[in-house]
Amino acid sequence: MAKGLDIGTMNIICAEKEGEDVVFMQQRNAFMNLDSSDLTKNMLDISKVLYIEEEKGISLLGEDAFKFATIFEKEARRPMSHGIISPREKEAIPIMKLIVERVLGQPRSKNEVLYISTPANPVDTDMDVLYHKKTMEALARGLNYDTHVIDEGLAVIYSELSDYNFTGIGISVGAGLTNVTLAYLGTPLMSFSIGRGGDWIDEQVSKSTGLPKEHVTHRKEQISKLSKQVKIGSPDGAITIYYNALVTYIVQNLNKRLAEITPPKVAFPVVVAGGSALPEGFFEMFEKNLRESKLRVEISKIKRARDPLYTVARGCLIAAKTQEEGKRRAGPSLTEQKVEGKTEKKKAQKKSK
Amino acid sequence: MGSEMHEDSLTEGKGSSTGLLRRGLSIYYVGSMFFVAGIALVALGSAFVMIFQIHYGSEADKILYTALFLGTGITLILIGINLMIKQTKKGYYVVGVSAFISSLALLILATNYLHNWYYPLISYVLALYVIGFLMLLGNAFANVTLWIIEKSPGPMVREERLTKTYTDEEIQRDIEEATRKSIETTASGLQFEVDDMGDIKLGKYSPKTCGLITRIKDDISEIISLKQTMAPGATDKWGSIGVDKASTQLAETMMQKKVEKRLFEGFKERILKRFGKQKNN
Ligand SMILES: Nc1ncnc2c1ncn2[C@@H]1O[C@H](COP(=O)(O)OP(=O)(O)OP(=O)(O)O)[C@@H](O)[C@H]1O
Ligand SMILES: [Mg+2]
Repeated sequence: MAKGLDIGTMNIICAEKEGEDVVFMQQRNAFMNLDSSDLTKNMLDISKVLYIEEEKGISLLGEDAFKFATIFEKEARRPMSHGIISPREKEAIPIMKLIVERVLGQPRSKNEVLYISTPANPVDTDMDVLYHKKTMEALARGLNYDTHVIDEGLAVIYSELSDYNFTGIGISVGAGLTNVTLAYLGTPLMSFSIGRGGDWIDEQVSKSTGLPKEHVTHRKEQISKLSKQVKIGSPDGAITIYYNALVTYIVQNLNKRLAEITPPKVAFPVVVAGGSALPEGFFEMFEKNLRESKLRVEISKIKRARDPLYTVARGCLIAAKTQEEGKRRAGPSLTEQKVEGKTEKKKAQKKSK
Repeated sequence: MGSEMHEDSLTEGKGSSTGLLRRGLSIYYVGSMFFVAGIALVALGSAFVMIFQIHYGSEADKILYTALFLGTGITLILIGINLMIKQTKKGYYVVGVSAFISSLALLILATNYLHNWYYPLISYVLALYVIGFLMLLGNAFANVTLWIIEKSPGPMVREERLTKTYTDEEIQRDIEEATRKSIETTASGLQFEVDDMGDIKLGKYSPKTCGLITRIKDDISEIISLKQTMAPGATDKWGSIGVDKASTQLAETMMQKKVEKRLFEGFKERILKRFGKQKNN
């Protein structure tokens, strides 16, 4: 059996096959500190809440951290920001380990193959994903999985572009980052991330309306449709405006990066996934912007992922499954696939000639 | 972007690897004068042929003039061409010698025609003229070929690469790329240990797994076939069947890519081998 795990800024999601179904286990990537007292502990035990006891106090994990944040009038914190765990937040590692453990469960067989997603290096912020990648890999290895890592954008392609020979552009608009990968026949030619996503919208809207960020996030997730007609006084207008700005920013950055490579002369389909692609109207906004900007590659079809929140986890599952079958038949190994930078570019150039 | 600093060694250089000399503009003009004069003479000769309706039994001096005009004209044209193109040093000697041979042939013709125009001499003169003609023609051809070789992009590209200047931005990017690569290769050998967290104490409630569970089932086959008749090709299977199908396709694509790569690589190797051998010879 194989598993796929999407470790995101906001959600940690595991995908696995169970008979005829694909099952997704989802948990918020969050925690909340509370002062330790027998009363609170009692209360949490009764309500069946998972928590960690530390010297400093207790920490609630995942979804519960959110639920109880309002009750205790505290803020839920996040172990990760902008798609990665930062080396400065070492205290968050045990928390993430616990969440990952609970979401992933124990391996069902020895050396069960697991693919985890990782963001690519961002183009607009000075940030290195390497520490994050290694840490997450180590967490999963610690659980005795045969662990491999792929780019989030590539996972989107694996999940949604099987009918296009895994050639195309996969985009995941998440909370902390937007990840983009361009692949040709299943091999990434270009992978990068952009330091803006759902969180950026929340921040901007919060700044311009004065509403607390959590409130904006909540409102954003409830919004029925991104449209130009909005009620006066509601933050919906601001949300639409910043959604538009985000989309423009993504498309501009994509175009800029495309100038640096010479992809094969084929028409590429584009898929958008990620939690921030959920609201109605987002896809239309994205499609319009992409069609109107003169992209440096030809675009064939623009597609919305079927279940944007789960796409990355599903792509990881497909990669894991392929690897496992391959191991059985000693076939191709997916781990060899990496963006080879310049050499790959040159190859692509040769091909296009 | 890098700028080309390649200079055109054909017009400016003092000489080149193939030995072609720099040719002054004056020689070019002299050459073109020769060429034009030649054309005029040939035209005149041709006109004679038509006006006098030259045939075997025509008047002797008419035949002589026609032959002289045509012969001199052709030689002049060839000399002109030779002077107009770039020559090696040897080339100029060849032009001189062959021009002399042709003129000699024409001179002998002019002085001996009619009085002394019998069998052995005719063939000698003709042979002499043909030799001159062929030498001029061959010389022009050889030098043009040399010029084309020199002009061919082969050596030019190499020169361009050597003198390509890099902008700071490009250098910076290359450095960053190299650094990133070195970090990545070192890091891929590195393994983080996660057991230094001490023991985490959990509350009473500690399930093995917990989280929000979502199940995706594939449509049962009847519905799928119905859907397909309505929208052919739209197999929207996202569940287990879809995952299996996608991973099979992925394996196939990877396999295909691997084979392609191997073929391509083999092809490249063969070409390189050949090319390498040729170079060594
Ligand atoms: N129904 C919804 N409408 C609008 N936005 C939503 C909705 N549901 C979730 N989001 C937003 O989607 C984002 C989370 O998406 P996702 O789980 O794909 O991100 P992530 O993978 O955790 O983050 P990243 O990939 O950036 O590390 C959040 O910004 C959240 O506010
Ligand atoms: Mg994500």
